[in-house]
Amino acid sequence: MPWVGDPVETTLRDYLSFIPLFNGPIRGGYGMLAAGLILAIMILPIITAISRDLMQAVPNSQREAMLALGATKWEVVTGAIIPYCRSGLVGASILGLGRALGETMAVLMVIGKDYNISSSLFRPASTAATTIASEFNEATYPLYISSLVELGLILLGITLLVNVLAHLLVWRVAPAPGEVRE
Amino acid sequence: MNRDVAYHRRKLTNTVMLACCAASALAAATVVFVILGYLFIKGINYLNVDFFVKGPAPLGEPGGGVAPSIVGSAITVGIATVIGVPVGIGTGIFLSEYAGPRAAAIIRFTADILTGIPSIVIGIFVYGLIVVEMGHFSALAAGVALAVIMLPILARSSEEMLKLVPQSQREAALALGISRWRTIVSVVLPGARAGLITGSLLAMARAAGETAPLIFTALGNRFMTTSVTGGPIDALPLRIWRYGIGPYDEWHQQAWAASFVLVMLVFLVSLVARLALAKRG
Repeated sequence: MPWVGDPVETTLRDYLSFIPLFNGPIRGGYGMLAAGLILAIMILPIITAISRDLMQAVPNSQREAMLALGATKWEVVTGAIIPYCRSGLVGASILGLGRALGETMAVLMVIGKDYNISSSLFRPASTAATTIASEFNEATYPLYISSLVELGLILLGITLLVNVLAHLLVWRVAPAPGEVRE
Repeated sequence: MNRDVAYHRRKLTNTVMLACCAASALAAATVVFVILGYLFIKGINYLNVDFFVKGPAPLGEPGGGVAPSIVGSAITVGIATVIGVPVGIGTGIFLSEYAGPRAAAIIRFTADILTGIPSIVIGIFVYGLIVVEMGHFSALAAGVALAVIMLPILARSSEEMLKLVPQSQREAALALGISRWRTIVSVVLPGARAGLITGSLLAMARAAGETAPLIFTALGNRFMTTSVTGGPIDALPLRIWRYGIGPYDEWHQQAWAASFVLVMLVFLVSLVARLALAKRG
């Protein structure tokens, strides 16, 4: 993890510190940038798997039509495949977003812990999921526990909304987008 | 002349963009090997027999192991399998054999949504459902939480596997006057056996790696327990988390070693499952 603090964050600060996102003290790599990187890696497989399913749902005749017009492979991708499953690809990305929203442990380990909203990506922060996980063992009285459960309810509401939306988008392209992947 | 330039530009765009796509694929694949390699380098040095057979050493003393966590993981995942596999495969059978298109679409949709619900929310749900009712943390609660996580994976994968059984086999059985459920038990299920086992193994591997719901259900326990309902129990991912965020170097070393063991276990189970499926296909 330290390498996120140095060189990644120091380099970003050296060159881009005029943007508030990349300005501020560096805390050994713990912070929102590290958490974001971890999440990017974690949602990669699901987006890959669904996008592949979607692209396989594109009829071959569409590809052949583009090729017959003399298109290059890349032009087939941008001209035939992506337009055909655009809404599905958006859905796949939103599905990835849904996973990222609920991911707890990996984020908990790198995000640090801070309840202030700050403009710098280098600062520690906390997400709904990490707050629940990190404070649950300290929650000693009923109201404290109830607040954490309430936070869980909010998280559930958001992820439900995101997931339903994403599935509707994916299903518009491919009615049964493959099996559920781990 | 002008056409020539346009042509070359198109070819160049094609090559550059395809190279970009290949580079992303390479990056995605590299991540797996970087993680495995890093864990190997960090974890292998701290692996020894003690690690697998002893409980955690008292603070400040070197040595000790994670035996309670391994046993705890086995128990909780075992409970989850006992609960989750029958229900999951049952859902799969219903989806593939009995359900009309409308009912199937609704159930598939809910299964997909359930997959998307954060595991920590499932943990809270089971906490309210079982831990609060029983009054204490237990392996049973952890098993139920993991079973909920396994359910949608199992339902969707077993449905896919059952659909691979040729329709003609079902019709042949029905033509002999065999009842519907007997056809499923004697013809469809044996035909899809390898696929169903693969799906179950993958779901177990997934459940074995879950940490978040265990905080609310298993809690963690430094001592060896085998009681299903008696009280808090440990699990490998929980132990890794506690050691990983702890302040001691010995803990960090144990966390690396435990991560390595966990990843290898999950990796092996997935590999076996996929090989079994590949051999059949």
